[in-house]
Amino acid sequence: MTAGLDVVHVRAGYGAVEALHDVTLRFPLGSVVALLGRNGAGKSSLLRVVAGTLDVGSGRVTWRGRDITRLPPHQRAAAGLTVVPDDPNVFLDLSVAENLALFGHGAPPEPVYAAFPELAGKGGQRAGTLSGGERQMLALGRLLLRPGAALLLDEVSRGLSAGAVERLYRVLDDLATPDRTIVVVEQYQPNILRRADLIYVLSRGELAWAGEPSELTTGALPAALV
Amino acid sequence: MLTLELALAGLGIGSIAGLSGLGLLVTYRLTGVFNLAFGAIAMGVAYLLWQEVRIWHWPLALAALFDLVVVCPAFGVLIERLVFRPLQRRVATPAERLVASLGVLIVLLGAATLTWGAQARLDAPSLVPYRQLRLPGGAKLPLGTVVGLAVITVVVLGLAIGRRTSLGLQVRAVVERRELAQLQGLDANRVAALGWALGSTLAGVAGVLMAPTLRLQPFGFTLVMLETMAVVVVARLTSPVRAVVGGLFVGVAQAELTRVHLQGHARALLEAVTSNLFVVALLAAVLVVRRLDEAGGTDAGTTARLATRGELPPVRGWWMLAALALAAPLLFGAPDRRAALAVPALAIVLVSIVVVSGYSGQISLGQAGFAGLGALVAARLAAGTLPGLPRIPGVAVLVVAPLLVVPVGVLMGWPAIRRRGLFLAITTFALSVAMSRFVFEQPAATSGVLVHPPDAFGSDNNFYVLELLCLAVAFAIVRNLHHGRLGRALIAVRDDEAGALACGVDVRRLKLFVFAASSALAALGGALLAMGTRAFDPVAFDPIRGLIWFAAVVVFGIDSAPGAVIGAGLLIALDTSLPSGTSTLVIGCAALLLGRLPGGLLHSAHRLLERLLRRPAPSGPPPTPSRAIRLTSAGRAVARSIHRPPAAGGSAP
Repeated sequence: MTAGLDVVHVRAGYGAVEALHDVTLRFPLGSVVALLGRNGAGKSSLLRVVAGTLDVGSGRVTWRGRDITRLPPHQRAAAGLTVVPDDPNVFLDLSVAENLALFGHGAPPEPVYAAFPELAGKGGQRAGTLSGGERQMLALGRLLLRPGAALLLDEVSRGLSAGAVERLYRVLDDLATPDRTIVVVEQYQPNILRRADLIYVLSRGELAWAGEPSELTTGALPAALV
Repeated sequence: MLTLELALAGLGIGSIAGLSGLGLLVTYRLTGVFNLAFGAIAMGVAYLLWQEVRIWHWPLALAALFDLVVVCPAFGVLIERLVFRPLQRRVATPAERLVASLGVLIVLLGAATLTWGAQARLDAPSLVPYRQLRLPGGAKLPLGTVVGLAVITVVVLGLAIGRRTSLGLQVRAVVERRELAQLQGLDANRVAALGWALGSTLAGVAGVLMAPTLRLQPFGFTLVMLETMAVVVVARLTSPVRAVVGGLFVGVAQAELTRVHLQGHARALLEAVTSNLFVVALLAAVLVVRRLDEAGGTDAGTTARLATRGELPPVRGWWMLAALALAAPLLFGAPDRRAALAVPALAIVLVSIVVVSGYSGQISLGQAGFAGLGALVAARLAAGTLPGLPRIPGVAVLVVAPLLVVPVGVLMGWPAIRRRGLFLAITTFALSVAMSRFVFEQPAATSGVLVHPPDAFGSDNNFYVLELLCLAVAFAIVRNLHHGRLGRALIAVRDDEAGALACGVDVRRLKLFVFAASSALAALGGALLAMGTRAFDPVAFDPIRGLIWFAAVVVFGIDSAPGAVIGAGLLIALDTSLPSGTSTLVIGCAALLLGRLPGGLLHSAHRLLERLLRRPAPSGPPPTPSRAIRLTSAGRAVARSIHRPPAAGGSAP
């Protein structure tokens, strides 16, 4: 597997509280990685470190061999990192169409309406008035419009119906190509466990378990998750 | 009664007010910051143009072009880079950003006072030559009004069109959720810089157009510009058209009111209302409008938290410095001691801000109003000229006057029940402006008022001791407010109002109580302040002065009572020893640094001292923990029992 996204010996946190303690994770190109862990395990912090919205105390982040540790977030986005963050992941004051225009940099929004018919016909509606599930679908729209070479999704299945989750993962299946890295952060989601090539489990800001889905039956995983 | 001629004359003021309000609104929409500095930027640019044209004799057109095309945008970019970007980086609350804009306002005020002095200038250059345009039907319209209306039209159209462009979309995205916008590949810093550049240019345009119709004076000009906040509130921070219509309406109404003639007291009142119609409009607007549409989501402005106690260790030991600063003047020579009389008085006023804003998180920009009211009521009580009340002798004035101000404080707290953050800040400021314009500046209220200390405390030394006693009482009250059940309830309201409600705290009553207590303290401080100078000076209780006091409190740690004393000492020391404007400049600069000094000067000094005084480990390198450890209280108890040194003669295993 070729070098994709690497997080090497990273420490990061908020003020006096350190959220990630010397974490090293590798997300090779062509793989789907599940990043699991309980509340407060450091999953979202790790994503923010990768996105560039949380400063790294020490360690580095590299993307396809290039050190991006000090790169501002918008340049990381331009370099192909697509991060769908946790809850506030759409612009509530903007309409659905305007959100999609921002996500797609002007690309026509039709693919999103095709994949998520719930949103079709709501282009003029303010995103703040959408239901939780619809908002989530809107946030995922950017994967369909302008997917980067690394997709990092923070608990995107939350609030979605079982059917919508199924559709979401079919979208991800289509996006999983050999030149792309997909990182899915979840608390626990059987769907991703079936599809992932690699599973990392974070616990209290440290890597607690790493392995492949086939190793799951050993019973090592639940200890850090449950 | 309405005449076309007066209406057209009113359009002149109305259009400039509309433009000013529009600029404030646009800045807010472009940057997400309610830019209190707007009025000061307008003032600064107007002064700059005056300097260039009247002193340096630059050609007017060239000077105006230079100011509006080069200076204004550059200034906007500069404050974005130096002040607001650091705040964005650590995701500051809207309240902190409000204080930062207050810092810009205060720095500009201080710089302007230092450079141009406090006296008014009447010869501001007029960008538009005075010429009457003849309308069909015989009515005349000044060219200036036409230009004002044209600029407004351009701005409103530009907004309507710009909103739809991709750049407009980017700006809106960055203002709403900066981090998410960055994840979409938007350079949020550049977008924000653009917003600030545009915003300060609009401020400059409004200032330059407004200057010829006003006296150019740092505080006065800024305050007039800030009064156009009325139309922004009417527009609920969103609708540019409503802002413009509001401005035009007030301007026309002002002109039409000049036709009404009354007699006696009613006449004085009418004149006051007419000349301060924007203040009346502001007051009406903050009382009638129920909600502002704040940028960044529905609850963006609700957190008024300025104090960050949870994230900062409590600061102790500064009482000593405060006490030392207070004791020093007893050893001073007579002139210095006279100046020092203001320190305890001002400290009490600042402590009143600590109570309302630091402890309970309600941003009150209106404490100057209470202080002035306290001074006035005390003076009239002592002289026996307060209608309906007997003459109150001696020190009793200092008890009765604050109590009489309490109902006003409760009245001010009333709107605060439903308001938080930005809206509350605007409301309290509006009330303070109204008090200043309709009470302190009215001859009927202040003429013939003699102020002097209570009889037994006529000498400076005795009066100073009396002040210290009052300060001690204030501290005792404050201490009670900050501890025990009441203190916990206040902090709960400050940190999470809904949560406090859910825990059974009567938020409504608590807020009224806090406003009442704080207004009484401010009134006491104000009364002492006036007694110290032996005069009632409306300028001492100017609403802008109140803004400076608020910033001073934030700078010295908003929840720190000793910080308020040190702040008062520093303010007075600077004011008496250095040219006027220096203290303003210092406080402003410190407020600008808040982005880099979370928690204020005192917290930062404390952290620095701790780092310097921390003793090195006795031998070898200090053990480095594998990761940052936060212990629970049980963990701390265990750690203590492990590290406790063995008692003398204790058994060792």
